[in-house]
Amino acid sequence: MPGRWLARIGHRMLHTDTFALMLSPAIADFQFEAPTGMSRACHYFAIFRAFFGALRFDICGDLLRLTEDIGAISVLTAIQASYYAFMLVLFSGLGTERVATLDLGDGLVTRTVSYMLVICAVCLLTSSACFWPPRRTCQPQIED
Amino acid sequence: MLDLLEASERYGLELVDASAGRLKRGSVYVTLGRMEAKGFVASRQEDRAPGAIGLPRRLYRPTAYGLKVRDAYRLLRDALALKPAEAK
Repeated sequence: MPGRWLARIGHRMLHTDTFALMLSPAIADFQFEAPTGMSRACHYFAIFRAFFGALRFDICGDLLRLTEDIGAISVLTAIQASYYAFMLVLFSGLGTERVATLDLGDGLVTRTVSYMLVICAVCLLTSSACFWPPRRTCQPQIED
Repeated sequence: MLDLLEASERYGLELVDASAGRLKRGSVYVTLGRMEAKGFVASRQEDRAPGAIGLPRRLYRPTAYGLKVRDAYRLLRDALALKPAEAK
């Protein structure tokens, strides 16, 4: 049955409702019409557009849901960022002595702020991943 | 889209065909899905014969709320289209 692999990928990557409402009907049309040649390519293009539209819808919804946990995410990010910032100061060669004596010459402030921004961004990503709404992890059952 | 659905239940592809090119195959289901999430349309899976293969297709119909929103939108659009002298 054509489109089965698309259904499997969509079922795996999208929320159940999103898959049922946005992608599944597009694949069902493709299977119903069983097009050939150029029409088949157009159908595939339509399915991919539906898939990416559904994925965008899901990601926007997930990001909105993440804002409900913004407090916990902020705390987790701050803990991680503090830990890695401390490690950066210890092992980067900047040395604790220069920081302790506030010898901030030679662009040290700029570099430190840049490093901290990168650390915060990475920590925010990993923290967000912890709170990201769950997806399926097992093989889906797609009926033929 | 709600206008097209008002007469009867339709499949997504029927909407594409009836829209004379205004709706595209790739975006019609995403739009319908968003409309269903907002309560403008409702859908159900088609009744299938035993032994039918493939994924079931989906039929759409407008909700009463959706039709009210459409009517309100029409009123607003008409009001905005009026010239100031006509609106008085």
